[in-house]
Amino acid sequence: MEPAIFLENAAVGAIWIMTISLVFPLLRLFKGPSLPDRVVALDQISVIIVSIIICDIIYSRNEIELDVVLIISFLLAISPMIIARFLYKQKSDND
Amino acid sequence: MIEYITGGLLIISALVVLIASLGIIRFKDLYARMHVVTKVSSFGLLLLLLALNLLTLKWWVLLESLIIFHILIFLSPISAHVTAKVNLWLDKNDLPADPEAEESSTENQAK
Amino acid sequence: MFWDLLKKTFSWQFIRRQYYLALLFFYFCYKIVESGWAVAWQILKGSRGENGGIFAYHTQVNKPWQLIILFNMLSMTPGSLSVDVDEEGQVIQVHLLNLDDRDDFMAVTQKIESLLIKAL
Repeated sequence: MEPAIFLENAAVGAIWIMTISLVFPLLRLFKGPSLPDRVVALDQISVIIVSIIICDIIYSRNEIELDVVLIISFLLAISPMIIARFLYKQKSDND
Repeated sequence: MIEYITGGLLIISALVVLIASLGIIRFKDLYARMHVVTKVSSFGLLLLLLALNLLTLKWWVLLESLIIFHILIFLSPISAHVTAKVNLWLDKNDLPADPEAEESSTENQAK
Repeated sequence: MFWDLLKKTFSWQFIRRQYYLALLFFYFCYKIVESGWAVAWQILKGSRGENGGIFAYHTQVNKPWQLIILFNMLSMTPGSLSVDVDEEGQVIQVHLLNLDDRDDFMAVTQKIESLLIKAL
């Protein structure tokens, strides 16, 4: 097998494996008993999406998509803090 | 030659991400699940960024992937800490929740 | 004046601090790879996380900057996740994935702590 064709096949296979692994956090997102469980599942889903975008960069040789990865990883880091702030305000308003 | 190494790294990191999401569905406790999100996923993304840098030897790709890696290293522990602290605080204040959540909280207090 | 500034910045103390900072960074990178592999192996072995628990760790660092870096590094070392810290900054509540590995955790954390005190 030629190297370029092997790389394309490997990238497509990696995207397939990651797409299958997207199912399990989704199950946890539906099933999770409390809100922090769902936050953790959402974190895992965004990590998998970032991985899929990096595989697509390697498949299509289009490195400018790395900016998308940068923005999504910022959102990944900030979103649990926003949800934690929301939970705190909701509880203190109820009291 | 470098294409074969990159393809191998891609497959290995995809398997690591698969293992991480298996851990998300299998672990019982919230804290154990957070172990998976902060460590195993960071390891998989580190492998992917290494593969990208081996394939395209450009300086701005290296710079952007370093920024992404440092965001992951230094901000994912902070978000894990925030989630864990909110969970601890909700357990302490006895919020009405599902029976499964109450079971896990009593297990934590017993240990 | 310029020479004084140069002497002050490139004194032996400064170079030793940089050396320990670089050592800490490489040790940290090694720990990230090792911890990712260790937790993945725990999942593959079929552990369900019943064996974990929260335990209190007494620190010896006193500056707030050192405490922040120690608190973030504890989350990336294998099998430990920092949950809470008290007001004086002396006791960190750490969640361990496997409570039997307490001695390993203490050894790794004390090594990180000694490097941190020398570096900053």
